[in-house]
Amino acid sequence: MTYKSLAYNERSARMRLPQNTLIVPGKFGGFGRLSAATAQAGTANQGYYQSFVQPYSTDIISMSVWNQTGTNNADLGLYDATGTLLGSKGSTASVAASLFTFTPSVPIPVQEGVMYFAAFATAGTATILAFSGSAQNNPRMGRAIQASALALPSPATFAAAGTTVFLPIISIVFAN
Amino acid sequence: MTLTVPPPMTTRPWAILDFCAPEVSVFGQLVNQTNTGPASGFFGTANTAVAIPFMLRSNLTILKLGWINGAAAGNNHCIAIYDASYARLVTTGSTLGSGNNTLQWVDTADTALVRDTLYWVAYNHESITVDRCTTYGGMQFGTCALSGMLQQAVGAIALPDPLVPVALTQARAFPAPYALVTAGLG
Repeated sequence: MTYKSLAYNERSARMRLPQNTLIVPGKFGGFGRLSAATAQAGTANQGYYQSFVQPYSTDIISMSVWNQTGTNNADLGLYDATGTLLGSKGSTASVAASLFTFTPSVPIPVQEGVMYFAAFATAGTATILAFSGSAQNNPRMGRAIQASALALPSPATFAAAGTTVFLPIISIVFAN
Repeated sequence: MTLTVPPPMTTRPWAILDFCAPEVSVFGQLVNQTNTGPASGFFGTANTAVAIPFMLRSNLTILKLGWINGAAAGNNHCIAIYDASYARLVTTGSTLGSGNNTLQWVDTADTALVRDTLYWVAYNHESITVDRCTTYGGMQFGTCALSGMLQQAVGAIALPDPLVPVALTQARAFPAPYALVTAGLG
């Protein structure tokens, strides 16, 4: 008897994501392997911007990060490539050991093939589940930072991430 | 993945679907970034099922469901697939783990899964004895939560219909489930 293997995950023209969810930074954010996820605190009042290219046109239902320990004000949002704020939670107190989620009142439309920035800003006390950036890793990830960015400003002024370590894991849930 | 066991008996073209692959689940995305891969370990809480959401890029029909036993196989396992509303589509039923470090299949009713559709795969085990399962251990609470993982204190080994999952109460080691699939809708 012979056996024939088949590819179960052949690419569709319109790439779909598991659970309609994108993790940035991550494989589907267009990046290779990063570091272990650890709970880290960012720099007080700093904004962290992570670029990604939207794989298909849809709406954003929610965005989340994981607040591991402590509590402080934080913000989550989405920018276009020019730094225009498309939506944000606003500075809000986070809660330890729980998801910190931004659910826009109206889902935010995003277009296939367009670059966006997922953004997170923190007062710097709470620890957030994050990867670790570095001088070598940051350039390949299209990330940026901004001082005094809590609440997330509009427009954003993107600055080079340099040796910034804190790289929050942001989960984005799409409508379909 | 690389097969280390004889291929399962079927005359249909087949492939092994890894529910923890990054193309299949958000959990897979995260473990792909943060973990070294599943290893012989133990289930978190006996008879408290864990479930992760997944989605396929092509239509597939499940022929069998299975898991990889740990280094000391034993006790009963149960895997089930649920739709987005947590209605059970197919299950292995309670099945005794047998064969150390082997991929153990349970022949199930052929079950068609449609691409671009949200499903859940749930896993339950009746023991916390070390080396009964092969799990993604060392997962952080936050990693599990961001992956969409949920839990249900079933209180028995057989996975219920419907599943009534709730938010995680702690980090959960997830035993990697697999499916033997064929292309198309049955």
